[in-house]
Amino acid sequence: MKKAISLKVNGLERSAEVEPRLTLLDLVREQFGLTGAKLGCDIQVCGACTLLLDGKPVSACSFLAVDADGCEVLTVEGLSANGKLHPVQESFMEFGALQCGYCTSGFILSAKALLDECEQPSEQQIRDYRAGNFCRCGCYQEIMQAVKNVAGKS
Amino acid sequence: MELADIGKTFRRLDYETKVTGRAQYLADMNVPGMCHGKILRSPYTHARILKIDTAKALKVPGVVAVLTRDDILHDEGIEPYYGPVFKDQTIVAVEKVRHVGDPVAAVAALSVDAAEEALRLIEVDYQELPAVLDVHQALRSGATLVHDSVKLPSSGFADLAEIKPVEGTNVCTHFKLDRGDIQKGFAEADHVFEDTFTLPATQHCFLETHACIASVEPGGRITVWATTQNPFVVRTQLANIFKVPVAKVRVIVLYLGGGYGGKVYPKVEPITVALAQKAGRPVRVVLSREEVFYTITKHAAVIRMKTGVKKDGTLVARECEIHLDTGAYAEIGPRVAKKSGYTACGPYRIPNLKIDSYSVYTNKPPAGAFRGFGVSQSAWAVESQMDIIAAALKMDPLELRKKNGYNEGDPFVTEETLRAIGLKECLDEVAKSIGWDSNKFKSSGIQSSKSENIRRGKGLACMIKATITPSIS
Repeated sequence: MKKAISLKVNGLERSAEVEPRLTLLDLVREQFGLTGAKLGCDIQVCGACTLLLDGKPVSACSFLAVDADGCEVLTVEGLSANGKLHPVQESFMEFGALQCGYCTSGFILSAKALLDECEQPSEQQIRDYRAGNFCRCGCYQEIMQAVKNVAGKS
Repeated sequence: MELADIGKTFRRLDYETKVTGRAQYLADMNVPGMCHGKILRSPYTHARILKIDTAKALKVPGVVAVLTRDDILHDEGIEPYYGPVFKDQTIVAVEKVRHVGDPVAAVAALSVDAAEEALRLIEVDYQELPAVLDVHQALRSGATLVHDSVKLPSSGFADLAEIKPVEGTNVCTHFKLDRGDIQKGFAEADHVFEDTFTLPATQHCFLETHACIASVEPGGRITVWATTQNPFVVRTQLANIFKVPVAKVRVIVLYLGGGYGGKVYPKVEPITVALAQKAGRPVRVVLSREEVFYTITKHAAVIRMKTGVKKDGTLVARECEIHLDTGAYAEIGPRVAKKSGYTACGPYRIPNLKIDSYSVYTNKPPAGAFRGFGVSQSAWAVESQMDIIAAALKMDPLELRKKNGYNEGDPFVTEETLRAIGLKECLDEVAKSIGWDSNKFKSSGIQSSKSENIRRGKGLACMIKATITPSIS
């Protein structure tokens, strides 16, 4: 039994017919072709699937698509506009805050959500906010520098 | 790049692709006509497979192919046994399953749901066998054998050419390194330290799980998109398994979501190719996180280290026994045992050595390369004992290391001359950068902070990592 939903994805109105059990991650990846968010653990621990729902980070692997009906979803693909990258994206590149890149989309969105909420977060606030994102290549120091760099400029 | 560029930061060429979410990894990719593969895995640690019945599974709508041992054993175009060192693995289990999670069958279907439904309907009759679950159990006399016999390849890595498992035991590899006169060495020592260090298996936990897309053309050409760190090894192994010339196998690696040693040797590629061949269309297999835990781990280890020291801190003798839990299949366990053995001396001049390094089969998921090929295990034991020795002799751990550390031109344990070492210079730099206070160690051994509630310790360690010389080919 499929349900019709409508939502905004990266500023565009989208609609879909979804089974109730379909996750937001599968909707965005399989039906909308936005594969920046990744499946890492399937139990909302690793943060590779992080998306912003009405501005707040969610683990899309454990969030039902039907619950996103009427909401605004932001994926990493929606961060750049007119060929210009978001300051968080620029900063990640400047500080080398990525290696394999699998966790990167999740970290960038979490950082954006933090900085939208709090322009000048303390180091502890940054740590708290990114606690839901894992990096197994070990870029935590560079990620911290990259986020502080954006905070410092605002 | 110029010499003047050393020390500068450069933007890597793949950064923009990755920060914009445009980088394509295996699970992001589809090929036309692709169907989905899923693997049925053993629920037992050790069991004989009596019967497999796939009749119900084949009836599930959307199922394209079901693969079992019958396909592996009765197809003349498939060599059932493979492995990077020993040929002790099969695409799916043949006579028995050797660990929880060992692949038993596989399904290709038009949807993931159909494939999973079909898995549930495959009926397997098992006869449970006694299992060995750690190196102690595996080494006991009369212990159940994980492998009754192990096939050796006709050719393989040059550095592992002389390695054979010990028949009639669970010893996959025994590497020995002797030097000098160990009894004389201990006799010369003023103190002898004997400690046993135990490490558990751990997971690489790369965020991207193992995955593969395989396509087999009617003429026998195999194309594989693989999450591998080592496409050339995968290509050679697939050519051997599917009995085609290497030139007919193409391995494509997209962006890789982490590897750290867990994606170095064939993992899901052989089963995906076999499924694609049977299905007559491309198949994609993507492992769940749980399945990765059944696929590859770091070697758990028990390391007994006995070191003879003079009262001034000079190391004179080391006897070391390393037992590495290599799990149910050798994978690269033999090389891990060798490297652990080579580095059990640490970067120190010790004239008398007796090192025995073992990779041991157990009924657990296979262990393999993990950020250092067995060296991190031995280095931890070596350096932990150095600190124990320093504390007992009331000596600065930094001084103990510098006193025994390699100098320019010293021979390595295998007699090659070491050059461009810089060990002592590095140790001094490290000590300076963390504000190391040598005087503190003469009395207490712990450098604590001024606060009563917070204690801060400082430590330093050094190691030598054995490279594969002279060559693997």
